[in-house]
Amino acid sequence: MILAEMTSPEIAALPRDIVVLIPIASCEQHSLHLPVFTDSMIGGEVARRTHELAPDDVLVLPVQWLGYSQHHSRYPGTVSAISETHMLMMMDIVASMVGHGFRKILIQNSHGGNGAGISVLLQRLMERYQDEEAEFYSRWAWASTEKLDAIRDRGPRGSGHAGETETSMILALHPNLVRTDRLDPDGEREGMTVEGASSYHRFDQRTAHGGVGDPTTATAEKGERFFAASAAEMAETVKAIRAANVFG
Amino acid sequence: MILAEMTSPEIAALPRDIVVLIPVAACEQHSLHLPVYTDSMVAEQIGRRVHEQIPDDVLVLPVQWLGYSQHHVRYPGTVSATSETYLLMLMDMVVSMVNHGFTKILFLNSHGGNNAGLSVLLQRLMERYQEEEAEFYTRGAWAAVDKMEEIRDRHRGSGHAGETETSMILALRPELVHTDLLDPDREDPRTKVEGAGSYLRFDQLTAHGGNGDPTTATAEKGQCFFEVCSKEVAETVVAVRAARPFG
Repeated sequence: MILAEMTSPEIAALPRDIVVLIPIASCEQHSLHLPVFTDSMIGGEVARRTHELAPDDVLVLPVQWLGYSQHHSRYPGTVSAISETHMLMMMDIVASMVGHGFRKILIQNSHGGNGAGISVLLQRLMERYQDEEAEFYSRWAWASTEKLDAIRDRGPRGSGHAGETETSMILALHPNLVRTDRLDPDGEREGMTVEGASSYHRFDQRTAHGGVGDPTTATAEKGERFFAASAAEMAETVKAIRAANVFG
Repeated sequence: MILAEMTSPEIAALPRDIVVLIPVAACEQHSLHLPVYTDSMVAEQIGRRVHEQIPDDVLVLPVQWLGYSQHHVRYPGTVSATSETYLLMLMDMVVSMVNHGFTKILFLNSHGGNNAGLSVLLQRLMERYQEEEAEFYTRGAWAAVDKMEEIRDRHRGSGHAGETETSMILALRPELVHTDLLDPDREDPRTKVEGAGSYLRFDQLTAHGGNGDPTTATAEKGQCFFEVCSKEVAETVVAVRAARPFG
């Protein structure tokens, strides 16, 4: 079911164990050749296809495009929440749906920068809903790495930011929005990381022009396969959550 | 220009006095017959039409569908920010664009519940940007009342899920309007205290979440509403572009 297209009485009539899928994405620079809405377009398409595969098991919310992209904020066109805002937004979306009685919530994330906040969100949801039998899950919008690597020419080097994977997916969705004359491999600079210690740097510190990976081997046909593999896995997760009976 | 479809280098090349149009809306119950995304569909469409009229004067952001709808929260399908979250979201969107150097920001609001937050936002932006020549504006998505009344059959056709919004969704997505469920609704006057402001939930105010009469809605009126609204918003954009409030 597609929440945006339904009336409130229709939503009221849904079974409360349907899986509420909340696509969380971003609006941020994607190197020289991809539009800033890349993550949101991908999140929306994976959710749309997941719905086609499991229409009665999933209630898809609109894509929330305002994500955590402060590491891209020096690049024009990036529109980002700060970390606390992002947490509160996700909490309010989830709380709205739990308030309506829905018990199975799945955050679908198509942007790496949101991962940290979603991890904290799951902790806060555990704290907040101690006495309710509500279940909260998150998963990455893409299929597992081995399936993606089987499609990619560049293997793991094809992933990253605005690389082979994302470029292929936008070629499949909106070929007119890919500046194919500006494809240029980019990557993380040497010396940015300290062995044995985690850190978080901006993309203008880490890369030459905001990309990670090689987009030159991208094709629309691969993009189609990335979408098919990713939606198939998402639909499997949706069905597994629907079937789960975690509180016994 | 449509921000979502552009690359970062293309956005970097834009003049910084282009008007950044941020459509803000809601995802909330719209009575028995309209989809919960009604306000977002309306704002998106007006943003698109404004851009068609004056593509070089405006940079349209994606619709922010998460609005302030706590007064609809008892109706399933309403997805709402709380008031403080809402202010922070609006602030972060503006700050992102001001940090890129854009100096003219205009909110296009299609949902009444967002008005209070937008008013506070304008105050906070005035506080925050004392030293910068950035300009901040808001306006409703709707044209002036007299222009709307010329199109409407019912003077009570405005409000929530009434003649106006129903006509607009009939024009955009007729398959999403449940024309067999059109039923006039209104705010119960007993919920008001003369001379005092108050804020109540729609399940306290109305029979089934509407305010107005949708029975006279038509797709043709919806087209007219979109035309007058986008024309007036485009005029505002042009006026904001031309404004030099700091001399």
